[in-house]
Amino acid sequence: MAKRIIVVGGGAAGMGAAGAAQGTDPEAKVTVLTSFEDAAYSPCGIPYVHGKEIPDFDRLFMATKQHYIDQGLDFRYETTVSAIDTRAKTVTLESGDVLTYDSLVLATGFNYAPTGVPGESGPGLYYVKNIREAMEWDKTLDSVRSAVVIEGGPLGAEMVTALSERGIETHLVDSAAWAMSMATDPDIIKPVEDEWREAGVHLHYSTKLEAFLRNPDGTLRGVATSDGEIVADLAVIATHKVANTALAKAAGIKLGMSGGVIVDAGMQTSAPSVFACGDVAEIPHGVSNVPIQGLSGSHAYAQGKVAGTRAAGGVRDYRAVYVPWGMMAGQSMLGGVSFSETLATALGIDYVAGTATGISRARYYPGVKPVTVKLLADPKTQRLIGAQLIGGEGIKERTDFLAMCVRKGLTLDDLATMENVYSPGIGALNEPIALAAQKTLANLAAATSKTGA
Amino acid sequence: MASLFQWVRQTSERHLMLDAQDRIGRKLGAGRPARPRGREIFWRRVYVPVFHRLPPGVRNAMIARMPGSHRQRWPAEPPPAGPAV
Repeated sequence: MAKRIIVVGGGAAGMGAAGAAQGTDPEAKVTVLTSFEDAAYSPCGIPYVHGKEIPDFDRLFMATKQHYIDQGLDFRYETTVSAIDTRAKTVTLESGDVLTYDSLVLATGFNYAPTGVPGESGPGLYYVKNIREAMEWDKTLDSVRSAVVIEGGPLGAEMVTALSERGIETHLVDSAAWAMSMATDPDIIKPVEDEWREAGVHLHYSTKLEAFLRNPDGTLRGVATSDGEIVADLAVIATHKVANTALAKAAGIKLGMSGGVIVDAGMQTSAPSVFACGDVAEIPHGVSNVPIQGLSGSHAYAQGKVAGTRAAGGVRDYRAVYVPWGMMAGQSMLGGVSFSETLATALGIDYVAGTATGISRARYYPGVKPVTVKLLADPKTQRLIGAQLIGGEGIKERTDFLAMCVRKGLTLDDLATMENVYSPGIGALNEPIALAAQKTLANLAAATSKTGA
Repeated sequence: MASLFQWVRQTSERHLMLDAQDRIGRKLGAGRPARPRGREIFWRRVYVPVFHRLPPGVRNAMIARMPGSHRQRWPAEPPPAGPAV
């Protein structure tokens, strides 16, 4: 009898799991359940459609619904799971139907953390997630005069950029002292903030959201903050991701300290034959060993591949994460991996840091852009523990490379003496990463001679 | 019990990050978070200094004992092997 594999969730993790399960056991009956009308699109692209860099939402879909039918997947849209029984190995749908599984993959994703302030329920609050809702909001944006973005994390930063490019008066409200504060230091994010201010964005840092203000007819009038009222007819809620563990928790599956489902390298949960992947699961950080959740789409997809392979009886492992990230914000590209000075300070991790600015191509070549690299290393071993980058191009590739350097324990000396490609159109004589490593070594030598250590 | 650990982790993380923003903001001449008020005073003025005074080994041992994926099976990163040939 063919193995019955049920995947709950049709995002990056769910699609990765379904594909891998089918690839591992082509005889298996793979059923994907999603509460949404669509699956397999890139929600990460939504801000760029709003900002008009991408002309339409259709481009965000990876394949048509027919494609998955042709592939042999039993895809059920607008199908909500109401309960899981891990002993009976059944999934109960909201319709009352009960499905039996041999292996179950939970890829239920995330919810935005509630703001916890009055007025949160009502119109005018936009949670960027569902592409159909995004299409409707996109029509609304043409008539929005003023918008407020709540919290300046990655999505918040992208939405600030998109809304201001759309010609909307945009406010960012964040209780942190600068945008992207969980991943960047203020010296790295400053060029983006300057670009935002130049575009007319109002930045309200160290400011607490106190309430959503409503007109008598219930429509949004603005927000109350610790710094006064802001008039707005749209609020984008870009609070941090919270693992959507309602089903897992009700089924008695163990959760970890980050709030995500506890998994091992095979994405196995505490329940037999139940796997979890993507934003619902928590993964240990490779440097600190602290479990974290709410990573990127590429993490979710890779975890889904592992969960799907294991669910189908194959062998595949995931690894602890070092969390390379990157994005467009303002007119800049921004990226990083693992620790910033701020995060290292928060966790009490000793570090030495150094920053250098180089260029992306030969200085005389058209289109040359600045590239700033900031490195953090353990002062005793000189092993890299984090990096941040900002510039005009070549940020993603450098970030991926530096993530592998952190993972493999490369040292400042390794990077200071690295070889690099030189060709006028694609790379300069001096590699910015090598310059930053040399600067960090110089800072370490200066600190050592000062302390006499 | 898991939700207690989640609350401790979430609250601790928030105040450790705000304290770190304060220090780094001052060091780099950038903006700094608002001064703590009400219950935040305990976390910023008592919890954070105590956390930082704990020896790293003790902090790591406490984290290691909390429930989470870090206590499960994860393959160790193999050491660099040098050139292939």
